[in-house]
Amino acid sequence: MAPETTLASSGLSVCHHPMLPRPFRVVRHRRELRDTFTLILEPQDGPPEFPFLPGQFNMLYHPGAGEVPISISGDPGRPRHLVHTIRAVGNVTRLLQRYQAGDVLGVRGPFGAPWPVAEAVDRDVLIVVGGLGLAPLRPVIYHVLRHRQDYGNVEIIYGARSPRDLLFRRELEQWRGRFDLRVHVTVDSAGPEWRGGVGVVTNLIGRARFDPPQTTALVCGPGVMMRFSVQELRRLGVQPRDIYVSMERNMQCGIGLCGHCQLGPFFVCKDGPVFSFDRISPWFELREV
Amino acid sequence: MDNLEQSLAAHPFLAGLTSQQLQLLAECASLVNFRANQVIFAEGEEVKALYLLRFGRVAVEVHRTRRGPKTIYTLGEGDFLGLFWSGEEGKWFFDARAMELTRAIALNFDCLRRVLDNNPDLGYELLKRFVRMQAQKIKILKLQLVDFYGS
Ligand SMILES: Cc1cc2nc3c(=O)[nH]c(=O)nc-3n(C[C@H](O)[C@H](O)[C@H](O)COP(=O)(O)OP(=O)(O)OC[C@H]3O[C@@H](n4cnc5c(N)ncnc54)[C@H](O)[C@@H]3O)c2cc1C
Ligand code: FES
Repeated sequence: MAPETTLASSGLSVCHHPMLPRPFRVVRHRRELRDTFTLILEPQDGPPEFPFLPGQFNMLYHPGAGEVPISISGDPGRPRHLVHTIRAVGNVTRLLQRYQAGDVLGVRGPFGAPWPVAEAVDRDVLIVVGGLGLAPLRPVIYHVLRHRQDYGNVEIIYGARSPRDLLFRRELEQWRGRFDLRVHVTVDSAGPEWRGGVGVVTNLIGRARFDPPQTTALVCGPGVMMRFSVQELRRLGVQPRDIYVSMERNMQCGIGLCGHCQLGPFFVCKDGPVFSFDRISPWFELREV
Repeated sequence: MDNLEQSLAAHPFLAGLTSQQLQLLAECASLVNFRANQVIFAEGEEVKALYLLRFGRVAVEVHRTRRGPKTIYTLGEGDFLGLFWSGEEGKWFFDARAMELTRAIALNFDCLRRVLDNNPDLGYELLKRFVRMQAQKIKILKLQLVDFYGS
């Protein structure tokens, strides 16, 4: 069902000022999970490509309701399609869930600091993700696979609540079939039909193949999952400066003006959302559950 | 070293034991295989052996009336299967089922008790490893109880 107010009917002009949304048309709406969907977008006018770095996000705008920060989950090597994977949790995201092919929404971005794909060259790459955290890291996986010869061991550790909650399942299976990448998947609980692992991601970190001093670890997921994953990585000898996490804060401007996303001395929208752990550790709660 | 002792020495749970200690354990050990879906033990059954997994994958399950089994955690190569049984009754708390072809070293329970009682140094060493592993498992179960991936 099309949203009631469209960008066209809102009378917004097309302009590339960072505070003004640009109209993008939905090419495809793909249902991923019960409450999660992917919108594939293309610009309605202006430059046909939307270059971005893995880890960056956009502000998606539904006229009359507001804007939400959403990471880009598509392939940075294919900038003609802008891809966002969204969980419908509240006001704006539920409205975005109703967008179908042909509908138009507003996009501002790309914003924020990316995952350190350049710094990780020649090193082992360990990707630890939980739940929807796979979406912001998928561009990294596309990038690393496209430049596979530039990296050492690449290991993906992915955890979800149950087999039904596994995001991008078909792609996970494809990646798992490659010889140059190892994919470990675990769920919290499962019935007897599930043939994969049951446990938590932290337990799988020790089973991955990586050389701790030569490893860049990228961690994304809910707070508690990131906390325990960082603890485990540190226990295994990965340096705090080589562990990167993605932080979430409420946002408004997305460009470091309004202060809504402040975390200690940082503005998450501009200095983050990706931070190395050594920078963010005083503001990253390490308390046990 | 014979085949069995080599397999014992190669298992991470027994890493660092002396060859004399491994020889003592070898008295209680045998190599066993389980086919996919074969039940290794069931809740309430008497504990007859503890298992050092060498290959494959095992689901530790609870049985729920009407809703069928639910997997609590899975174990694989290098893991120890044999933590959750009641000391007084010597009975299993959970079911264990091979998810695929699984190879293991079975340590006969009565024999193991006898060997450990008679060799307190080895007994203490293994007890420390059991406790460490139990603490680790409880930590994992705790994380599974909070909504680890949900928010
Ligand atoms: C840098 C960044 C990248 C993000 N990337 C994605 C993404 O790729 N996909 C995606 O689905 N979401 C992502 N989010 C989260 C997304 O922005 C929020 O879910 C969204 O703003 C909620 O807006 P709403 O109007 O739908 O919900 P609201 O009506 O504002 O809130 C409804 C409920 O959701 C909760 N909520 C609000 N914000 C968040 C949040 N950030 N995390 C968890 N719960 C929240 C509220 O507490 C409330 O209970 C990202 C956030 C940031 C800061
Ligand atoms: S959202 Fe305004 S400063 Fe970050």
